Amino acid sequence: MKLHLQNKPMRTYVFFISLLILGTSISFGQEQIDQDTTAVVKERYGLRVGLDLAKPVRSLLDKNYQGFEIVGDFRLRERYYLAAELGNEKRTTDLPNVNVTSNGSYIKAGLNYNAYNNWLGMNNLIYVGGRAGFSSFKETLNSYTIYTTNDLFGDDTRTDSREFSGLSATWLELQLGLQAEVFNNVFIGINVQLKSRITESAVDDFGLFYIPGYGKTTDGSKFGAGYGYTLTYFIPLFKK
Amino acid sequence: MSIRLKIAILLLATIMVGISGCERDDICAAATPTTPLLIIRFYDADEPSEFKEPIDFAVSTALEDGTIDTTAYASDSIAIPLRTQLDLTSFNFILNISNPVDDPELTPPNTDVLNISYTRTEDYISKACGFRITYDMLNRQILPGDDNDGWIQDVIIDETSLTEQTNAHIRIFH
Repeated sequence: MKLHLQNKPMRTYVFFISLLILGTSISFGQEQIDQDTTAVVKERYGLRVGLDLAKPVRSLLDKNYQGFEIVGDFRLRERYYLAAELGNEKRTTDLPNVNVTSNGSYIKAGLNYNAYNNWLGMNNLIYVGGRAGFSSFKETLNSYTIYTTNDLFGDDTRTDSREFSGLSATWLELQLGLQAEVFNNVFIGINVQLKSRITESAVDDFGLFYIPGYGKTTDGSKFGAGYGYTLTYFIPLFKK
Repeated sequence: MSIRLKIAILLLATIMVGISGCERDDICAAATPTTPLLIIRFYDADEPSEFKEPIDFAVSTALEDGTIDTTAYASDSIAIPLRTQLDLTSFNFILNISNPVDDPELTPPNTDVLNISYTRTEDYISKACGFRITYDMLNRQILPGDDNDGWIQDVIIDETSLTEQTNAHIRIFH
């Protein structure tokens, strides 16, 4: 057991294995350590900052998308982390009858609760988080079709571009994720986000298609979903 | 695994199911009110409360590309589209369309011209359907056509504003 603790890649490996055999293996490992070690090891506290890698990768692959996001968290207490995301997104929604570009910035802030019982000296997280999100953006209607059930007079597609600016939206978000230390102070993480819109601008004779930070909106639903792949660096500030 | 995490996963799974049940955004449902068609009902000029189907009847109209579309109808009620890019749509209402012009045995085709003018308003429907046009201040002009022989006695506009297509907008007496 002590051998494992000194070997960082092995510990990370064990961390992922333990995810697969959730529950039993975690509590079993925990008990072993409690019995073995009596020395008090102080936990590290600090700031973790980095990027959501999913957004730049998607920017390269999807011509209708451009985005980046800075992520960060700060350990408040043993299991609680203050967490925030700051980003910018530009997304073109290309539907059969409407083509709209949404562009804007957003901030999300809240708390993460680490539900994972780490082995001694480890700093991994399996967390449940809550966020409040705010987005400020604009929409540009690039082209649209006059929908007719009888196409006798042909397709009527119009390209007179129209801009709807000064739009905003707020939402609440439930985040579920994990963060694993892969090298010294370097973490990779994945998370899924479930969101529910609270407020949104009413667009005059038009709708909201994509809200930066929130994602795609669906007519008749207040819910949305998202995901992130993060790469972060932990800056240790103090121990306690 | 802590009880909190179990609750979170359960909540997550529930919401995921909720999201997947949502309607798709790229298919315009057939029941959605889109650009309305003009509904015309034909009546008997001698018996104004009776429906009367025009016999061997067709509507023809000039298209953008210079061709003429002719569509035959066999009903006392027809639904035809109005132009979405112009404030006027002109139709030729033709009786006895299948009869040859020069056969003395048969009644030759009789064409009347119906011009419908209106104002147009653009209206956002939904993500899936895009926009539609609604029409207002409907007006009409009847001309006897090149044959100089009118078969339409009168045209009455009951609905000057065209936003739906459940009832007839125009009555034609012949």
